[in-house]
Amino acid sequence: MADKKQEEKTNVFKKLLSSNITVEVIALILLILLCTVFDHAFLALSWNDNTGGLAGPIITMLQESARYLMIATGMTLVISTAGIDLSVGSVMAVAGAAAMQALTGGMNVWAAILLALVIGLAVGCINGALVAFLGLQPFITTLIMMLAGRGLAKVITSGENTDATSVAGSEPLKWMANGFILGIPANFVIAVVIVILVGLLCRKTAMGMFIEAVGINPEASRMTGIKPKQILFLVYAISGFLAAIAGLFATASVMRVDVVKTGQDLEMYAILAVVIGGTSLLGGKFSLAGSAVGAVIIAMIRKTIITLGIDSAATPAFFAVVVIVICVMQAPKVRNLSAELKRKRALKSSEKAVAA
Amino acid sequence: MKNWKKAVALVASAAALVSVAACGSGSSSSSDSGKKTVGFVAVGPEGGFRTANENDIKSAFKSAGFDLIYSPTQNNDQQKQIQAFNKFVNDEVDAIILSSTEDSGWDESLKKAAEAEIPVFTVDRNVDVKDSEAKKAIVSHIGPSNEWAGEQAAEFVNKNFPDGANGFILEGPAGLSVVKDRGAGWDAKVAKNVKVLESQSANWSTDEAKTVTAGLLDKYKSQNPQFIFAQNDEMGLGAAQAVDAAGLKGKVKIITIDGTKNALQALVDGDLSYVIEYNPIFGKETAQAVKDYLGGKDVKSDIQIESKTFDATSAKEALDSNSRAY
Repeated sequence: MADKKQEEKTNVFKKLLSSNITVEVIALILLILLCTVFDHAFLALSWNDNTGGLAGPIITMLQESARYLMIATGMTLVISTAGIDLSVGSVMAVAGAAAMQALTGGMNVWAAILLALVIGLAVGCINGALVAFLGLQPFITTLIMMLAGRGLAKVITSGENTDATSVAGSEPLKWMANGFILGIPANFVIAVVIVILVGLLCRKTAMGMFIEAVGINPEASRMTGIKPKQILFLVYAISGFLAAIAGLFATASVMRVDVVKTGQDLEMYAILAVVIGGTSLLGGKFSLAGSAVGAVIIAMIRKTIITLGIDSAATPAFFAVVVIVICVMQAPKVRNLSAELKRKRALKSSEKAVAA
Repeated sequence: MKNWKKAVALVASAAALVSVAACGSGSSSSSDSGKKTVGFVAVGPEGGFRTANENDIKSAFKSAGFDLIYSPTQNNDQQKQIQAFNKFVNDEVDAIILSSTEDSGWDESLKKAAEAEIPVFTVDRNVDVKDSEAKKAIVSHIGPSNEWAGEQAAEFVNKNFPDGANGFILEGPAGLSVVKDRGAGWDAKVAKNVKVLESQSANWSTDEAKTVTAGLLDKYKSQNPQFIFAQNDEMGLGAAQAVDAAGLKGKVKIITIDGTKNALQALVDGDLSYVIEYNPIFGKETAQAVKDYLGGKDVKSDIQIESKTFDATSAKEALDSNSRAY
């Protein structure tokens, strides 16, 4: 009995070790430890009466991670169909520009939010239609949308960085990005809820399986009765919609859209989060939880850069090194290293025993 | 109904993006009516400062009786600028105004201009030329000084904190000459008892500046930061929001450079403390310099354009008089 229990325990332990998420969580904890060593107050939380929520380095990190959570979730679905969505950063700018411009034009705040979401969804649908129904390459399609999107954002604001700080009645949008729910950043809570909803949609229905099937082999999935075109269309549409939410988070946090900078390079961060999360770029199996932790890691790396005070010229290099280290930690060869060593040692001892 | 217009504009923009390749043609007029022809190698509309700057140059040359050919680039593409520049040299215009996106890579083109004896006037951003032949082509540089702007920021801090203070600097992207010059100006004038706890880049972006500032305020809470020098308005506005969220509004003085309307408004509202203008209006001076040179008069090799500094009261006056072009 005791043996069995012991065995079960080691099994669970092994399973945990072999899971990608474990490595990610370890990486996240290591980053937090590194920051705490440099700044002893890193984990300290205080109550800020000004904003009506908790305050502290971790809180601002979570606040920033909300937008990565959104685009990484959409990106996970797209990537697991063996596609890619490079347009998410630009969609963020377009959606943000539409919302800010609509607000300064006197539109109701809810209508402005809705407008931004509809535009994001529309861009996603265009991507989806081009990829699914016309059979264009996802890389090229979304690359073009990424370039066109920036232009679109500039047209919406006539090339200005529209500022909606002083627009009356925009509080709901401001709250979405800066507010707090029970002391926790509202945008983080909203983002987590959306990730969970998408997760339920994928795992409680057959959606997730369909997506994976399409990613592994669209032809075979078609023969089993799945409609790969509809699935493809759907994932790009979802990705566009989620990117619009990310755009609202990014612009509403300062109530100002920066047509050149908003969402700049974020498609790369999203892809990184997905890859760190253990989803293969070749499509197939995906892990939304992995991507979500990956998104938080991205935000944490950025926080680490500020906390450590890394010289601004060296920040891209630092970022790259951390990501590479995490990827190496996850590589099957490295992960199996301890098991491999154990096996070798056992072999050696048995050899010795035989020799004796 | 405004939204309909916007929708039409959206469609038009998509079309425009597709047809971008077909730009930049149109043969330039040679000086048939005895008017001098001037080629303007420009950056193109890029936001408040650039638009105000280029429109002002265009109108100033028009009223000075020149024939100005305007040739903007897209997305800061230097290649397009070089092509436009070489085309002006081949067309043998009387003078070239160069507002470059990059400070290097102009040697070959300038050499050609020197051979063709076409005078070149650089505006706003200076160019870095190694070749001595190429250097001869440049008659004069006209523009406000980034170093001066950095110096003003340092002097404001010196004056307001005679007993010393701690603070941060928010920089633009590493490697740009603007960033270097604004930083050098600050370093040259800042008092010894003023301590910069940290300089971080926020990439000229409001949103990033907010995140970075929030991080820095957390990190240096115990050292009581009292000022933030943001190298442009956009970043200053982001820093102001982080300071406000931390409940430090008014306790941390924020200094920015550029002088856009939004920043002046923030100054009036008390979010910012000091704004140093980077004056884009110098078309008249440029036209005068070109006129003088072509008329055989001597022209100074470095014409520095005066900029203003604003505090809350002067910002209110400037906004009320509605005289600001950007």
